Amino acid sequence: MSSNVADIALVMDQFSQSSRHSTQPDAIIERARNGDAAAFDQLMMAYQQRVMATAWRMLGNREDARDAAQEVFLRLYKHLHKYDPQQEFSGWLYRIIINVCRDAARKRKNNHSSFEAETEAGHLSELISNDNSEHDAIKAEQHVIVMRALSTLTKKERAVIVLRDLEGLSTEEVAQILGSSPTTIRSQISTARTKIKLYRDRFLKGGQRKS
Amino acid sequence: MNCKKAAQLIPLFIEADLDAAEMQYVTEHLKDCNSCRYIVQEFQASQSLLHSVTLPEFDENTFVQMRNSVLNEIACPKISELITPVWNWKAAITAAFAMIILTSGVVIYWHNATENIVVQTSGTGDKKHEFSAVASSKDLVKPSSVSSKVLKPRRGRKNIAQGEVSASERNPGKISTNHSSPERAIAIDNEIITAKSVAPFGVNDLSANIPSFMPPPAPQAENVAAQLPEPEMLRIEIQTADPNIKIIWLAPKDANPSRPGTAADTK
Repeated sequence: MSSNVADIALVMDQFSQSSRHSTQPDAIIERARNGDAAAFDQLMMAYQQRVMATAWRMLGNREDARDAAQEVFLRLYKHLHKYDPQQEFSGWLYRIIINVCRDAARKRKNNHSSFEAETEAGHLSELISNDNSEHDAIKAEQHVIVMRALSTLTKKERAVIVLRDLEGLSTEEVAQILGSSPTTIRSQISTARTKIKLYRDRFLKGGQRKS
Repeated sequence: MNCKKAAQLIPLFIEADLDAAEMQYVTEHLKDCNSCRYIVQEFQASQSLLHSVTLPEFDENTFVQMRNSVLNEIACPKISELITPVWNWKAAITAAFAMIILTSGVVIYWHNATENIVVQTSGTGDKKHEFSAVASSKDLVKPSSVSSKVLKPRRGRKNIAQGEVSASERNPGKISTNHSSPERAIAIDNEIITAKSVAPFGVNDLSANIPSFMPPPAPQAENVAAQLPEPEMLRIEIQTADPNIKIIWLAPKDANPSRPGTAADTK
């Protein structure tokens, strides 16, 4: 038991040290590849935050993100034997996350409806607390702008923006994960950032007219 | 560098996604261009907004439930996943198209093969007897005036017709009933028998090949045969009741009397 805790602590430490370029938890991955369920559970614990966060950024919905994260780990278990230890595990995992989220978005067909569902479910209202209503109201409004701006992007553009701007990966890493050339990724990044800026501009102008 | 070019690079410039040379160019341009500097500020504000979004808090209970669900599914996979193989949609669509094309090809070939059938026999034993008949497949499958059997079209009818050829080659002058498909042989013979009922000769010999359930040939055919002259080469064309079937019979004057169905035999 104590060794398991130590392993998890090691993985978490490796993960939190640099999130992007950490030493890979090869031992746990190797054990998980050999069918060790306990090792796979440790792997899930190490990466669950990142998987859930990326899925939420891709899908904009808490429930969908949870379902997607579950599917990601199932696919991870299913295809873990295909993982090449020579490549970076996090990049390989990101590829699974993006593919799962694309499939989920395709089933859902409409990203915007997901965000509306989240709004209706009252999750955004959690951002507004009673203690500091003005600050939280601004925060909630920014959240709404960003989520709606992201929903105007295509699936590819959204994946690129999530990985590059929100997950902080380099253009080359994003290109490797998505299987595109860096030039293509730069073009998609440029388009996506311009769309987000335009949405923000329209939103602010609309707000000024109302006031 | 002009503003148009700079405006294209600014979305990438704000997060340093350009190469060193382009970064340098944009930096130099911004020193002298207020409008582009304003655009950069707008993009930076937009990026700040994007980064301002905080993740929702996922409680530990959510993660525990998710991990348990995953582990349960790994331990006890769904029956549907066990039954249903991993499906490759591209391969499935390709296979479906291939099957459609293959089936279409087979159907077209079958249709063409059964559209017209040529049955031709020629005696090779003494090269003196020849029998040929041309019939369409529709005629062959029609119920004969003799037979009450309604025959359905069958695949490989052409082969059956070819079987008729080889059988006749073995026994020139005889209409063979020795086919791989008895029903087809009967159908062909029925047509011939129908024509033979008005034939001038060979009725008695040919009638030996008539299936037992068929009626005997008309008796007046023998009288007609007896009145025929004897040319050097006897050629008889028999037009059956069906305009698509015509039987041509060629027999030499000095045909072997022992061979049935010849002019000498009808004497």
